[in-house]
Parts: sequence; structure tokens; C-alpha cells
Amino acid sequence: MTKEPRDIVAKFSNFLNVSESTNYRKIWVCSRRLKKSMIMELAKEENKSITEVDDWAQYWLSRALQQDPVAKEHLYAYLQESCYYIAVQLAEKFPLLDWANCFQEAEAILLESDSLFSRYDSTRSSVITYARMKIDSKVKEALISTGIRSDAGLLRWLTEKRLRKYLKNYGVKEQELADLILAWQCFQEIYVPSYTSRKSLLMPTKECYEEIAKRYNQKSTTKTSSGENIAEQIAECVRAARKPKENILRILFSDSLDKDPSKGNDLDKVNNSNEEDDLDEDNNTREDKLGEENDFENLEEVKSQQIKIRDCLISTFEALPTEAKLMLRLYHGLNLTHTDIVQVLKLNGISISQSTVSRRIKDSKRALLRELVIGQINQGKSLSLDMNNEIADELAKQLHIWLDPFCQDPINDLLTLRIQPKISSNGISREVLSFLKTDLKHYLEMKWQIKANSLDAVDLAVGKYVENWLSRKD
Amino acid sequence: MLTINELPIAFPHQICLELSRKSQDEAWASVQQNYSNDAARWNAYLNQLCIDTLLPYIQAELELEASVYNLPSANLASTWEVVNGTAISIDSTRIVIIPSETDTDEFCVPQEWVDIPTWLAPYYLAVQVNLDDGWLRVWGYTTHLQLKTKGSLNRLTLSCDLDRDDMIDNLDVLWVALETCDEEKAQIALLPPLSASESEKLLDQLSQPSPYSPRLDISSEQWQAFIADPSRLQHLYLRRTVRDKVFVNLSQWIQGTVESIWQVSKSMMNVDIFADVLTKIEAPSSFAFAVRGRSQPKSIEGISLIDFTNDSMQKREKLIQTRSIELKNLQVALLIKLLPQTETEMNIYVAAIPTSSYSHLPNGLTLSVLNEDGNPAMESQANKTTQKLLYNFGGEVGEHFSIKLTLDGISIIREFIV
Repeated sequence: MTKEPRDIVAKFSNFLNVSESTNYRKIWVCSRRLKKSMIMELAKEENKSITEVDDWAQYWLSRALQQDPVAKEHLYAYLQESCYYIAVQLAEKFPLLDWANCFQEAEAILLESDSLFSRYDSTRSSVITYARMKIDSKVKEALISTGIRSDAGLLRWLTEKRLRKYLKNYGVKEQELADLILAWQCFQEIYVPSYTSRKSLLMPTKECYEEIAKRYNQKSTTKTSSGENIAEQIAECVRAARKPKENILRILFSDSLDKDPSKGNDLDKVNNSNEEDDLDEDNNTREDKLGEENDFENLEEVKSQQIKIRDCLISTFEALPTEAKLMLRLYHGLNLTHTDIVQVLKLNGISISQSTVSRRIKDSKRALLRELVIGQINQGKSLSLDMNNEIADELAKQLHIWLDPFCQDPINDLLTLRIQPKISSNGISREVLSFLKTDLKHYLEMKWQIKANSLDAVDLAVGKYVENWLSRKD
Repeated sequence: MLTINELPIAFPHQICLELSRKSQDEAWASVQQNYSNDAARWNAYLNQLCIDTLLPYIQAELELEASVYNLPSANLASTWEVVNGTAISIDSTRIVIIPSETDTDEFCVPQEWVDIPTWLAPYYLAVQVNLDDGWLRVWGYTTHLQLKTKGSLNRLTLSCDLDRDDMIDNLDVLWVALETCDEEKAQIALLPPLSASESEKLLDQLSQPSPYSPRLDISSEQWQAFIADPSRLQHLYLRRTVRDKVFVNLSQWIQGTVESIWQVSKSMMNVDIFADVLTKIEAPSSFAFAVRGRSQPKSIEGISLIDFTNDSMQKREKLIQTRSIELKNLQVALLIKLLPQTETEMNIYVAAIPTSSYSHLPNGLTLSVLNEDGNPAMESQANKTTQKLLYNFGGEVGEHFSIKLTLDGISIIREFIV
């Protein structure tokens, strides 16, 4: 699929106006500056061979990793929509997560491209697939526990790496930074929570501060501190850690967003009709189907390796017990919860608990990985290539990338087939939605060989899948 | 924020387990007695909670054998007194778990677990403990090789710090790797040996009471060389926690250092009875060493004079009153003979023998061997004609026991670490 130059420019210079978009109606803005930059790059002689979207993404990524600020912005424009989707999906899946928090966190992670792409292998997956996988897991890590912490709790939760970052952002200079870190380390060595009040920790007592000061003075080569000094140093660490995070968008586009619209800024509203047909989710996941020619550099060996991996995964999947296969399809294909799956199985005469469903799914995925690794070892024997943890992890990532699309393909194929005749100038009506849902249920029941009407138990979930799919089709 | 039920869904490749109030209370109760300061106690609490929660899960859910690893020290407390971390065995592979209450942007492994040859492991599990919300999770793992090549040594905290981006966050990879991959360990330097006098000096210094672990107080090379010897680690632990006792370190005897008070001349004892005792002691077994193709270390003996009159003036007066006739028979020779069986086990013989001018032990003398809890494991009493009291038992490096001699209500105790 070759993209038109205009489409490619849009991908790397447009971004979602997140505050005004909804799942069904997306508002885009275009940065004139980035648009100009992109057009210029496209015109360069040495770039004529770069034709695919992912190739451009790789191009901007390698420049971004060399700290080129414009490259970072292009990368941001390209992946910002993904951040939006990740935030929406997480907020949907986990009710206690705040959508805006997720999005802000995702943007922050995206901007640390060095960290985000530190183990990215361009021969193994596209930029967008890899980025989505990593951003999703990093956002969850960041938001795993955002409960209110006491000052002492916060200090104990910090790692040295994080505290250094906070202190630097707070404007603390090198020597003072070393002193503060030392004070904090002595605090960590000596301060211990009280077991009974460990949920709401108090700051150290005066005596405790004295002990910390004694320790500090033992270890410091530059200054001596009294208990009071230490208390002040520790308080400074807390202040640095509590300073509110900056709004990333403002930093990036500070020359555009702040300006009074009447004086004109860098951003143009994008005409939202037909130009955006290629900005949907599905196409992007399709591009990453292993073995397809479009997105990777044409290295024959890499291609054939990817094909072998895909084939191994498919055959291992097919060899799984019927029940396990069905559970995986329901979970990774239709995005059903474990509870939903229990319902469907019940209607098929299989009585199983939710924890067993969870365990079976885990075990099946581990079996898939195991077969994949062993398959690679057997292949590698002839080439005397070793298996090690890093390679196994890479294979696990491949499995992760492959599984959802594989389970969703039949679903998406059917919907694509059925939707064509139904689109009218008014968009998608409720009746059409209902029709699609019913049609899909019947089709899957037949394809996955489960009892007729057993998917009625999860009618809502199926409906949700169809709705989400439609919203990405636009 | 994610609830405990959502965690396994959000992180399907990690292990997320709930920490019940009951398990927290039980772990807390188990660490009350044994530590010299609050920081050590809290460290022990976290580690205990981890193994209480993780090991049963791995056994039940993954159907792999999981238990605490016996080396370097049979006594977990002696490790937790000074450093964070626990060595476990999963499916016969040694794995070190490092619990922490901090954020997970980096994994900090105390250097001891990376640079001491008998402490290191092929795999390291990062465990985040969240007591506030009542859960722990294994959020990633790494290999020894990765720690040594990509980790950075933090000289202030003596830890090997690895960025989260360099970890593997999918535990399924570990379970598959256990089956299919070779262990990835880096080469490390051997630790320099410590002389007996250095060792003594360090022991004194490190036993000083402190509200924090003494691990940062001497150079890292000295510290690692010191605790690499399990009997020294145990000795340090006992000195720090039971401060008023002096222990005789039997492993040091095997290495050739016998304290001078244990080098009393054989002529001080009744030599006939001594010879008789020796015949009762089995010929040393060379089998265990022959199997390894090594020559067996010689047996070692130590003789000390236990003097009931020496202890205090009051005691002496009392004794003189009760034993005016047998005034001189208030000394007993205590013989300890060690026969090493393997690198970590030895056969121990304890005998009470009369001094040279006497043909029998003081009437009423009781010789007891007390175990770690202070309870008598072996005990007997001499009558008017008893010539010797002899015991035999096996000991493993790191264990401790005491020998108690009692005469007319006066007890003299000697403490030993194997």
C-alpha cells in the first residue's frame, strides 16, 4: 500500500485536538511549521527511496535519537493519536484511571523517546506497533498507584534516579544536589515505618533526625549537618518531588498555542472529511501482520524469519486444546472479560470458574511462547545460534504483537465485508449497528464452532466491539 | 490507580499477589526477636513477607518446586540483619529476590548478591511491595550477565542499579528460559582472603551497635570477603544481636586458627584418660573427601581448662566452703575434637577430662550441650568415680551451640559457632 505524499505529510504534521475530539468525531489540527518541514524532506533527492509511512517513522526516529528537535516533533505528531487511543482504552478498562491522567502520562512517555525506543529493533516490528505496546505498559506502570502519599511515604517510594530528576527540574545545582541525595540516603538507611501506622507515615522524630545527621556527618566530605539541617534538606527533597509536572504540550508548541488566535498561530484546522480515511486503527494493525512485504526493509532473511515465526505461532495455536483456543479467541479477539467467557462456556456445557479461565489463558500463552522458543532453538542449531533470555524476550514480544490481530482478523474481515453496502451519507444508524452485531454473533458461533445463541450472553460486549471498530473506521 | 483485582489484567505477564492482613501480621510477628535495630527488622519483615507469599504461589500455580536456598547461610536472619535480598530455589535453579517499596523505574541489587561468588545467581527477581494497598508484584527479572554489563555500580549505596528499560518484564520468558536457556553469568574476580587478625578486627568493628546496617562502613572488598564466609556472617549476626557473649568459631579452627586459651598442653590433663577418650573417637571418614578427589583436612582439637575457682571471688568462697577436702579438684579439662566430613559439616566430640593429678572428674559435675534455643540436647552428670564424660554430634557451618559445665550450682558456659 503506497501512500500518497499528501497523506504522509499529514501523518507527521497533524495532531488530534484532544480536548475537542470524541471517539466518533475527531478534530485535527495541522502545524504549518511541521508541514513545511515534512514537505521539504519529501522533496530531498536522498529521501526519494523512502515511500512507506513506517519508513518515514524510522527515519524520524533515528534523527530523534540523535536529539534532533524537529524530528522529535514529527514523531510526536505521528504517535500522538496512539497516545489518545491508549488513554481512552485504559480509562475504559480500568474505571479508577482518569482519562486525562493517562493521556498526560502517555505524552510524557512519548517525549522521552530515548527511553521508549531503547530496545526497539526495526527489523522486528513497525515503529507504531512497538510504541503502542511500550507506551501502554509504561502508562500503566506510572499510574499503578497514584494514591495520596504522606511526605515520608513519598520519600520512601522514591528511587535515587527519580529523586535526582526531580531535584534537577527543581533547579538544584550539582554540589547541593549531591548533599541532598546523601541526606536522603541516610534517611532511607535509618528511618523505619511504624508497623501499626504504616499507612499514614509520620516524618522522623527529632531523635531520628539526630541519628540521620550523625550518619550524614560520618559520610559527608563537604559539610556537617545538625538534626535541624537534615530536616530542612529532607523537606527540600519533598518539595522537589511534589512540584507539579509541566504541561508537555506547552513546551513543545509554546510558540503556537499561547498566541492569541486573532494574531494567527502555527495551527490550522484540518478539513475533516474524506482526507482522513487512512488514519484508522485497523490499517495500522494490518500493516504489522508478520510476513507482509510492505513495512519492513526488503531483507530476504528477515522476511523469511518472520514468516517462520508466524507459521510456528499459527500451528501451535491450532494445536492447542479446543477449549483453550476458544478462550483465547474470546479474550484476545472479542475482548471479553473472564467473567463473560465463563458465561459463554456455560452455555456450551462447560462449567468452569473465572480463575480457571484466567489460568488456562495464561498457560496457553506460555505454551505458545515455549513452542516458539524451542522452534527457534531447533532452527538455530544448524546455524549454531544460541538462545538466550534477550532473544526469548524478543520472541515474547513478537507473540504479543501477533496474538490480538490473529484473533481479531476473522471478526474484522466480516465487519469490513458487511459494512460496505450499509454506509449512507448519514453515517451509521442504530439499526445498522444492531444488524452488524447480530450478524457477527451468528458468524462467529459458526466459525468458532460454539452453540448457536451462546454469544447472546455477551451481547453488550459484542456490541461494544462493533462500536469501537466503527469509530475507528470513521 | 489500579485495584488488586485489576493488576493481573493490567500486567498479565507479571505476578501480582495480594498481601492479606493476616500474612502481614504473621510475618511481622516472626521478626520481632531477632534483629539488632529497626531497619534490620523492617528489612527482614519485607523479605519474610515475600517468601511467605511468592513461594506457595509458584508451587501451586506454576507447579514448580520453590523453596528457600540453603546457602550461603542456613540462617536467613543473619543475612537480613545486614543486607536486603533472599536466595530461593525454583526448579533447582538459584534465584535471588530483591523486595523493595520504591518505584520501579530502576532495579537496585545490593552488590553482595552480584560480586560474592557463592552469593550470586543466574536470575534476579524484582519485587515491588505495596503495603498501603496490600499487594506485591514481581515486575521484572534480569540475569547476572545483564546486571554486570548494563547495570551501574552505585558506590554510595553499594548496589548494582539497572534501568527498567533493560529488564525483562515478562515473567513467562523466565519460566521458558529456565527450561531452554543456559545460565547467563558474568565472570567475576575472586575475593581476596582475609587473615585471622584482620577478620577479628573487622568483627569487632562491625559488631558495634548501630541503627543501620554496617555494610557501608568498611571497604566493599573487605565487607564482601568478610561475609562470604558463612560462619563469620553468623558470628557477626550473633555478636550484633546477642551482645554480651563471646563465641568460639570452630570453622576458624579448621582453617588453622585456634585461640590460645584452647591450646592448653596435653600434659595438663590426665593422659591415660585422654588416651582412652581418643580411642572412643571414630577414625575420621575420608570417603566424602575422596569422592571429590581432595585430601581430607586433618582433625583438629582444642583443649581448654575450665576453672571453677576463677570465676569470681564469691563463687570461690562458696566452693571452698562446700569442697574443703577436694580444694584442688575444681578444674576440668574440656576437649573439643573436630572431624570435618564435608565442606560444610563436621563431626564434633566434646569431652570433660580430669586434670593431670586426678583420676576422676569432680563429683556432681554436669556437662551439657545446649542447642541454639538454649535447651539441653545432651546432658549427664559425673559421680564419684566417673572418669570422663563424652558426647558426639554433627554440626553444620553456621550453626551455634553452647557447652555448659555445672558444679555445685556454678555454671560456666562456652559458646560456639560451627
